[in-house]
Amino acid sequence: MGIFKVKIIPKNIVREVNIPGRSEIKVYELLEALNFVVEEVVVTRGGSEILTEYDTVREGDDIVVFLAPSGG
Amino acid sequence: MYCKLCRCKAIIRLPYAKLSLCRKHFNEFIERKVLKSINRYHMVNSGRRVLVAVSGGKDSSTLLHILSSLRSTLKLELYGVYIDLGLGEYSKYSRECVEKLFKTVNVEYTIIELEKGLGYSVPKLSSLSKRPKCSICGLIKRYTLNAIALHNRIDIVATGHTLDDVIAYIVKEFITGNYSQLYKLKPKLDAIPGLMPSRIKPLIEVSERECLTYAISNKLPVHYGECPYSPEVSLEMEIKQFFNRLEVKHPGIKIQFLRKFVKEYSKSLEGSEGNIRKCSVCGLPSSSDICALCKLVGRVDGSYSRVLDFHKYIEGLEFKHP
Repeated sequence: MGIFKVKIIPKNIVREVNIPGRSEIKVYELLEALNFVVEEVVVTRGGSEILTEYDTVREGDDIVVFLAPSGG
Repeated sequence: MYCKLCRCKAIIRLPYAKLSLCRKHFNEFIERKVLKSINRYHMVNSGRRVLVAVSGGKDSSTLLHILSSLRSTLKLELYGVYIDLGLGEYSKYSRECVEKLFKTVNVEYTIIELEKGLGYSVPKLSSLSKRPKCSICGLIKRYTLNAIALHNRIDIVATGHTLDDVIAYIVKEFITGNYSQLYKLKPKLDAIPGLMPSRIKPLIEVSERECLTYAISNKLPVHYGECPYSPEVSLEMEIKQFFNRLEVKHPGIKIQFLRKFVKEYSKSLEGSEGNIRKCSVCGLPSSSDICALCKLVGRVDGSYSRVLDFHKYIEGLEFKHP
C-alpha cells in the first residue's frame, strides 16, 4: 500500500514513490517526494487531465510529470 | 481548486498573479500576456511579415499557436520554418510534429534540410571541425534564419525564447564575463536594413511551465523528447533550477529580474549590434569581414563553395500552403 508510479518526461523513466499507509496524496506531496518544485513541472493524469499541486492522486492513477526546463 | 474567474476546475495556479485558472481562462491569460509583451516592447512596429522559427518543442510550438491566434488583431502575415539539423530520429519526429502544427494553424511554411543544402548535418560538421554540437547548432540556426528572411522580404523573425531562457542567459553571461553578448537578450533587436530582419522574443514574459501547460492543454503536436546531444549538466539548467526554487518562495521574482534588466541595461546596450556588416564571401550579416559559417566551412573544406551552394538552396525554397 502507498506506492505511486510516476512517469517522468522527457527522461522517459518511471519512478515509484512509496508513502506507507496512504492510498491517496496531494500532488505537492508527490512532488516533494520526487524533489521537484511546482514551478518546474506540469503533472497530468490519464494522459490529458492537468493537475494543480492541490489536486489529489490515488494509487494506480496514470500519472505523468513533465519537466518544464529545456535546452542546455 | 477552482478557476478564480468562472469556478470551473483549475488547471494551474499562478501565485505571481494571485490567480488559479481553468483551461479556457488560462489560454486567454497567456494570449493576452503575449499581446501585452508585443506592445510593451514595440515588437511589431517594423513590419508585418513575420517568420516564426519552430523546432517542434513546446516553446516554439506554443509561440506559433499564440501568434496565429493574434494574427488578425496584429495584422500579421505569418510564415513558419523548420530547420532539419540532421539529428536522426529526433529530427524526423520533430519535423512530423511541426508539419502537423503548420496545418493546424494554417500557416505557410518551408523546411530547410541541412544535409541537402549544406551537405553536412550538425553532428558531422561538429566532428569535422571539433567544435561542440550546441555551438554549431546555434550558428546554423542564426545563419539560416537570416538567409530565409533576406530572400523572402521578411521584416521580423520571432523565436520561442521564454522568460526562463532569457534570465538564465543573462546570469550566465554575467558569470562568464561575456558582457558583449548581453545585448542579444533584449526583447527586440532592431533590423539592419537590407542585411538583417528585426528579431523578437514574444514569450519573454512567459515561463517554460506556462508554455508547457499551454502546449498540453491545447494538445499541440509537440516533441517532448530531449535532444540526443543535450548535455547532462549545463550552467543554464542549473541557473533555471535555482530561479524556479526562488520563484516558489518569492512569486514574481523572475519577471521582476527580467524587467529590471531590460529597464536598466537596454539603453546602455543600444547600438551594440552596430558593427554588423556584410560577409565578404556570402553577403550575409557578420561581425567581421568573413561570417562564422564561412570561416567554419572554409576551415573544414578549404573552400567556401558549400556555403554558396547552401545559399542558393535557401534562395530556391518557397513557402508552401499547409
